[in-house]
Amino acid sequence: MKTKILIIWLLFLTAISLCGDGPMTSAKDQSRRIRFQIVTINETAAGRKTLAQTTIEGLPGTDFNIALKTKNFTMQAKFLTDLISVEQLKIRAKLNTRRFYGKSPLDLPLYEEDAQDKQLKVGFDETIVLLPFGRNGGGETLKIEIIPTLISSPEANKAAPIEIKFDKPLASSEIAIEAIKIPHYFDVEAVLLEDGKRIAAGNSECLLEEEQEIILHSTGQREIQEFRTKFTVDKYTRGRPKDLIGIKFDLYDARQTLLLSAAGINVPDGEFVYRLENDQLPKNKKYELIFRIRNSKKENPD
Amino acid sequence: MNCEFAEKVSIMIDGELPPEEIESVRAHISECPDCQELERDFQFFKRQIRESAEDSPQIALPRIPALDIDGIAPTRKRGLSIPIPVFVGMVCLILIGWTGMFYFGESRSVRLAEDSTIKKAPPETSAGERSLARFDNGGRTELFVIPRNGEETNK
Repeated sequence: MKTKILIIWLLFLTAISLCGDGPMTSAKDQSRRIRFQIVTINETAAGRKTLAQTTIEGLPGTDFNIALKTKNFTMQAKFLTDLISVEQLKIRAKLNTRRFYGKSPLDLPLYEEDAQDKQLKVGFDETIVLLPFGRNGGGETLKIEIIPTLISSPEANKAAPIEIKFDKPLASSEIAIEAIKIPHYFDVEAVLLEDGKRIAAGNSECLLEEEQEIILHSTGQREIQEFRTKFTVDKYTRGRPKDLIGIKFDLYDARQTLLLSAAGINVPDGEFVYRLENDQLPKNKKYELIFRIRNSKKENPD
Repeated sequence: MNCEFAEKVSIMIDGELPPEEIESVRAHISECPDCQELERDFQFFKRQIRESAEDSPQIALPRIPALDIDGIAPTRKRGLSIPIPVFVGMVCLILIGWTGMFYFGESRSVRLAEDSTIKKAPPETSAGERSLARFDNGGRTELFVIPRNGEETNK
């Protein structure tokens, strides 16, 4: 009997350790690091010439930005990375470009702007290619290749800081690369109070810059309608003495929108408190919506 | 009058009786008082018609449209009756309107062409060969994934 119970426990623990397509636990993450090799290449029909090379290494969840600036053109490429399995990275990229086009008849500058949001799933046997100026047929093409590598080392147990190495700097210094490590996963709790009493609550894990719906269910003896909030942690800023979290959300009940495009900024572990004043809510009662946001346990410690 | 020769008397008076029958009809008339009276009446009416045609002016009888093969009279096209001064006025208005559209449209497009004259920026050359600006051909930034040794994919 005892043997059977022991076998069942072992199987259960083995299943837990193997399951999940989600992010890795913090203990495992500390033995895994991600390396991004960023190579700037001049590609022609005749061949390829490496112009610059930079290597970034950090814990899973390390983000990086690539900025390119010439006299008439600027590009800001922001990459949020998340390790979703031992074989794959989820990359969310925001590309913003601005090109000086010319002068108007009034001699005012005219610019051509572009903004793109991309979501990619990249295996460690694949390469991300960024063409800042697009394709150029058979002519010279500027290409930035980002090669991810997963480093698993039992010796790398400590959370080493981010490393950036400029293996080969760009001669013209027109490309700047930076890396940053901020939390991506947050545990968010939403609570609705009526005259200071908790009447509904809900919680969910939220990913940075991704909208998540949180449903607030009744918590008291009185059954109330369901409230829903479309919630996004849209900003995390490193700062001193404390970091700052920015949020935005909409609040709905079963019939209508109670709050639209609400926003706030506060320190992690702080409370975001909103008083609800809506014609559709009873006027003799005071309603408050509170959000509590903490870094998810899946996150690596800072 | 019930005489069977009455019709032949009428045809004879009109001059349309075949010659071989005229003698027999005259022979009958000499013996039949009714046909004699009928001949006198037809002769009187014929004389009256001739005399009235000689005295009256020529009357232009209306032309009866010819029937087509199917017996259906062809329809006559109806035109829109517009007085000439009104017609001339309408033509003038149309010409003025067309000329105005042409003139003002042309001017407007000329003004737009003038307003939209953009002095396009020349390609960057000042930074020299080292500058990445030499790669800028005005294309749109692209981001995609490729296998380490294969074709691009956008996942």
